[in-house]
Amino acid sequence: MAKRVVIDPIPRIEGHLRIEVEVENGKVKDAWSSGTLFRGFEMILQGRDPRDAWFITQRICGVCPVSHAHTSTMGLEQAFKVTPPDNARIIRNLIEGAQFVHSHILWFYHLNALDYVDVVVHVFAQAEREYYDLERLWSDAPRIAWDASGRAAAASLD
Amino acid sequence: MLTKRGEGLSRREFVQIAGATIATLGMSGALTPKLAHALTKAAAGRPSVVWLHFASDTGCTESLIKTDYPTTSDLVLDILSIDYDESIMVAAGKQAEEVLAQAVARKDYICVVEGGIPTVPGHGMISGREMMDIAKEVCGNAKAVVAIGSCAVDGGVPAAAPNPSKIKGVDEFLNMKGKVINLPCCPVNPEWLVGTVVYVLTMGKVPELDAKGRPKMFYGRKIHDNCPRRTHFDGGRFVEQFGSKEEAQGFCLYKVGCKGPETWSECPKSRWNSKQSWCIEIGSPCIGCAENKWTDNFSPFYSKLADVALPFGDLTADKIGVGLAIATGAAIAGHAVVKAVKGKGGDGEKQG
Repeated sequence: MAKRVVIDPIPRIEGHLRIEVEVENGKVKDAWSSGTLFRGFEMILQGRDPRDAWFITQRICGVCPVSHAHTSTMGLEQAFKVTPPDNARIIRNLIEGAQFVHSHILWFYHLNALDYVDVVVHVFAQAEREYYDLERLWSDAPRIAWDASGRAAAASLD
Repeated sequence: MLTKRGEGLSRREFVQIAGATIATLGMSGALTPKLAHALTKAAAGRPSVVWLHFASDTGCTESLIKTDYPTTSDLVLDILSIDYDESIMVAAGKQAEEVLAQAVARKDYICVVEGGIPTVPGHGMISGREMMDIAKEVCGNAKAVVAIGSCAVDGGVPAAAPNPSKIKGVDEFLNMKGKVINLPCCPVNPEWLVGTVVYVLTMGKVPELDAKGRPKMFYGRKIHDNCPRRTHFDGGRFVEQFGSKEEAQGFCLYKVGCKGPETWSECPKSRWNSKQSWCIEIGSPCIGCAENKWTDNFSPFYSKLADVALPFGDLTADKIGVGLAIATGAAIAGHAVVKAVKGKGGDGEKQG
């Protein structure tokens, strides 16, 4: 008998995401990932001054606005057959590099680290594992016993 | 030191926060000890905050987590009790829904809303519920509602024409005009949000608001009036083209599209990224993102204001913008005449 697991809302991401997983006999049979917000930026951009595009596309995502703005500008350059001067290329690369550093620090410390440092982390807590029946996802995998020191018992590694 | 939970803040830290906030609010530094005391008292109760995400890009959360005093961890762990916030909370799925339901039942929280509300069914859903229903329930039971960023105030960028999801601002959708504290800007400046929160916590009341629900202390002055390039505007020295000598000299950006003359915000004073800089200072014309419906009203962004058909009633909170906008246009025309006479056909401009 298939069981459906739904996780919605998914926290600590940009946007609204819903994950649905169908599990049958301990195996994932099917899975769905859906964005649950529609804003229609493509429709908003139609008919506007092309130079306005990068101001608007960077507001698709507050975590990576630089990349959206940058690619939008590159799109215009292709359309108008323009090659940016070296200084422009260098400045853009510097800003993109800063965005890369910012985005990774943000993602790790503000969004991801909670999964490692907090005792109530949902997917690692026993109550949640039982509620969502997570152990069944890998029920056919070989079991390895762990001793109190955290080391895998040598015998079961064979 | 990822978490300071339970440790609380020292008196010295509260004084630091109070000092920084006093500067933001434009109060006398002599009030710092008083404010620090009030803040210590308010934080002891850890006021509950529910932070809702609707149709936004999370840019305002991004903006907030870059605050200096108080730092994000101080604010989240030691001053406020942020009971629900999809961007930073640990809980997911059913657990998250339960946390929200508990807070709503207590009715003792401040509701911060980031993002507008899609009014086309199915265009904005959380946990299988319409954002419209969540907004009604959660905002309706809150002690106070703060709408942060353009999206929550009037729909923002995703509500620009043709507004595919018919997104509305919080006070319009909930019919709560005048009852919501609006902090527009795309994104909101973290100092204005923290300043508003600290003001409410320490003074025990909502700061004075203008006709659009914006705190006058942050939206009471025009960018144009406090612009570091204002002397160039008054002197008729304009950037006519990007990449020109005039641009390198830091002249006024009005003619390349600056919307400063019609935008009300404290950007020149608060600045951005820990007071490092802001748009006009780095040579980018203001796009007017603190104003209502800026994506449509101020488009195209690189065209000068006089060329844009503006709905004048929407310009300023107190409708005095109409006269000012016309006066600005007249000033520009005046400068052009003076220059033409002086330069005998504009030779000076060509050389410049």
